[in-house]
Amino acid sequence: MQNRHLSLKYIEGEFKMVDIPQAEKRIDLDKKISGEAQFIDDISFQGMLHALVLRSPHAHAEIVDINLDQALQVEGIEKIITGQDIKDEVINVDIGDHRPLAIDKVRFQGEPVAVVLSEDKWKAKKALNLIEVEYNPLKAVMNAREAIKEDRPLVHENQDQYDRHLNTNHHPGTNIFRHYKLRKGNVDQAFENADKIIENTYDYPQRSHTQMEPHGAIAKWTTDQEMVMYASTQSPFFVRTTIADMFNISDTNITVKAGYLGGGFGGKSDVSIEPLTAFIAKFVPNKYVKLKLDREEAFNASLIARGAEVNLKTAVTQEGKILGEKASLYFSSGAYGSTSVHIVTAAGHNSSGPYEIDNMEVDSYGVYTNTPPVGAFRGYGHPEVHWAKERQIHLIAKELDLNEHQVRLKNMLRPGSINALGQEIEEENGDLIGCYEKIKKKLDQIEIDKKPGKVYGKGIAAIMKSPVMPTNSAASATLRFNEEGTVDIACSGSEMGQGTKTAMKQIAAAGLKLPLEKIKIKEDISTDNSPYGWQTIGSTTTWKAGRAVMDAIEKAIDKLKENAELLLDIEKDKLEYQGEKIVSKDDENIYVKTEDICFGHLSENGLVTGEPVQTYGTYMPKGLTYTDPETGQGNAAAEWTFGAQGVVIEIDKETGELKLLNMMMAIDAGKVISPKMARGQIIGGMVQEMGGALTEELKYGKNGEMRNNSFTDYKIPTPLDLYDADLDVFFFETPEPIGPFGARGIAEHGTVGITPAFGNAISDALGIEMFELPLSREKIYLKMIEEGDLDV
Amino acid sequence: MAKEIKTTINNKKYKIEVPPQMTLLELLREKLIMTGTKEGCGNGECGACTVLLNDKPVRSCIVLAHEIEGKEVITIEGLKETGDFKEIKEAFIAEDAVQCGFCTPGFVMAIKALLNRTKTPTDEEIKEALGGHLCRCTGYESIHKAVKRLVK
Ligand code: FES
Ligand code: FES
Repeated sequence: MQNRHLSLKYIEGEFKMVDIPQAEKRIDLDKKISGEAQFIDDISFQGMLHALVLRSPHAHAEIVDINLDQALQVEGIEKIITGQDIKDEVINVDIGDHRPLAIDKVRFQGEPVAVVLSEDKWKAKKALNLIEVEYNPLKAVMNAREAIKEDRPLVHENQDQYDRHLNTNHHPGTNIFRHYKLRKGNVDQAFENADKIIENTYDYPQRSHTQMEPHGAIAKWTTDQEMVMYASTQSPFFVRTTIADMFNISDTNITVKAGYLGGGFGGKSDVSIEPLTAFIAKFVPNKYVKLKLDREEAFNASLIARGAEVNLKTAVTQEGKILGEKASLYFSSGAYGSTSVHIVTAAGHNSSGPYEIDNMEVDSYGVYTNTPPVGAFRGYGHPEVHWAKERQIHLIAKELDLNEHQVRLKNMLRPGSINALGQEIEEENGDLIGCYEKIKKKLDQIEIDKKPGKVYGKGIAAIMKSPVMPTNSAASATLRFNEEGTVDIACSGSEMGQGTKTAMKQIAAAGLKLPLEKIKIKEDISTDNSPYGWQTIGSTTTWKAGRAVMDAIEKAIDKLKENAELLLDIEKDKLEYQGEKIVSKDDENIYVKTEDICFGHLSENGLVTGEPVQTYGTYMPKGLTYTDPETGQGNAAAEWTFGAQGVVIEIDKETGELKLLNMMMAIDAGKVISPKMARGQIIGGMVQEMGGALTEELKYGKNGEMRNNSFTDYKIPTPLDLYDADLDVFFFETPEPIGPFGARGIAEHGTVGITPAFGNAISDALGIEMFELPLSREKIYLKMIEEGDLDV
Repeated sequence: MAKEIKTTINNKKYKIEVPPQMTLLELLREKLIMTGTKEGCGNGECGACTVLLNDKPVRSCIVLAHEIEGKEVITIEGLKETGDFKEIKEAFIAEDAVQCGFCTPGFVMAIKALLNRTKTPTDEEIKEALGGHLCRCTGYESIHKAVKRLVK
């Protein structure tokens, strides 16, 4: 890949590791299973104030007046804060379009309008009910399609005036705040040469992350310049910077602490409620203020997910070769655009799917709408475009009367191919075709035990995924040998269930050639003294923070050798580090024990030789660039991961009810650090996305109010949906040159191709084609009637 | 008006004042600072707050605190001292059935309640016991395998 910094030492050289030591259990399992693990809402302080938020009932309205008179009469109320209290505080992740509370108008139902602080939450509730707000409702735009029309209302009248961290190529005077353009080759020529042009539009609605733990944060200002915060966040350092920026103070004046997260999935990345918590706490100095969302608020007042309409026009030959493609993507990004600028980009250049398309024209738009803001969600733009692309391939094959596998294999990226960004794919990027063949074969082998009244289908999809992030997003680690020869390691990466800290312990034990018991990984993060980590996102922790740990290990080994050199009087090049000891390369009987020199060597007369071994490791992806504003080409993705997924389903011919029988994935993980946890990540991702495939969709009423903000109305997969299903995960291991021992990230990948696998399976079962998610029982039923396939 | 109730929680007797609108979950988490029981929804929809009330699993977020008058409550804090917990934990370790861990105490209580009823549950009984519990991380496979390990 272009400008790629190659370093093969972790897969071929000194550090080559065939067997990674396996932990008996996750390092946090005991605490979590016994309920001892502390999540944000388990933390309280003496005299802490509870923050209750009055939220807008309207999706789009002017605030005419707020009357606090009666509410302020309630005894025990410490403070009530409204948008009128805002001076120039702006939340700017990428675009400065967001305030901690609404000022003159509200842009989504659920937007904060006022906050009541009280030690007693019942009193706060009472006061909240007494706040009177007069609104002047405005027409709302609920999806990108409406929002780009000529006569649409504007969600932001003056988006031109907003500060931006990067050029988002917004369209002034419209709702379009981000336009990513990709131009590659000669599309018009390709369309002229084509035997057929196939055009379809695919819809992927907005969803909710529904982490089981709702968002929460606790803040206290100790002076008017210094604040400490506890938060359920994937991004403590990013939260720190964003809040410092909001108050125009130094990063170092803010401390953000993060412990365990009850799920993140992207919905706790960037910032969500932390800036608001910091803002309101500032009015009550020296008091802790806790803002904890309830479930309804977690639905309509944090970040939501996805929401894309993808139109693909594909120029193909009779033999199924893709000559060119025009893609238009419209993201319903919600009321504030900051947290979705890069999703729009990632989706844009991944709209090719894992295929080599020489001629491409992609326009990907981030559009303001009157819904809660969209943020990262497991897969980050990739599931949205794979829903479109992998259905499109299926339909191209159908249209041309070809076998869909042949169409995929004919067009797949392989070593030497140039991808949509202009990067060359190499062997090291992984075995896409191997993964695909594996799933195809597995699907072929499954013999279905057919029942009367049911039809059956098998569906497949190929996938690719890359992390999309700022070019300078660093990870780091610290390593400290203790006197007894044990090792303390801290590294970037929040623990939100993905098993990061356990994997890091394994990586460290492997790198240091020491038993797992000698390694202790620090779990909690404090921005005061933990190693820097930009955010825990994009399946990059094992890969990037793991690499930082290896960097710290290399430096530590070097220092240990220096200590040994002094003691043994043998040049360090002539010494070999073997974990528990450091041995002369010339004579294995000459050695020192690591534990005897890791703190410097203390001789009998008290004299110390050498120094304590404490090191710092970092990793920053090398050679990344912004994409060119006109062509969208550039080194925007630091690594690629390939795979394939499949499902087998049963559909009831009378009711349209769909049952999952098999679900599977093959993925080139580079190197599997922990087979059990890796499987858990893939399966968790697949099941989460199965929700998106079959049931999950945020619905809004005619005034833009969210209609299904509870688990009763918003259905996520339950144990009953999975109990009888067979799940398979197959790992390929083509080493990735940067990751520790060749490991790639895999945490999001299970989500990427599940929706098209279901769509293709329905096509296989019934011959009907679906274009809109979710593939609900009702939709299948109606489509069956429409197509006359109903067997009643 | 706050009312004084007598109850037993984790085999310890309590005499406590509870406001009429207080839920059992609030009593446990906010008054007694037993935070092992989690709140995922507050509406009886997710199972994270499951505790045993007279040996039956209940969702403590929709039980009023005064309803436990004269009854026995077991929470994860009480369960973790028992041999049954050790067995459940070993099964969870073997199958790596914990990810973020937020839903876990609720699942453990549900499994304990199931095992109280029968050591050889049918598939239908397992589904009934776990069906209403939500987990957004694991995809349930590892949890199902852990339960099957326990009833084998
Ligand atoms: S918190 Fe009680 S069921 Fe969800
Ligand atoms: S382990 Fe995270 S919700 Fe179950």
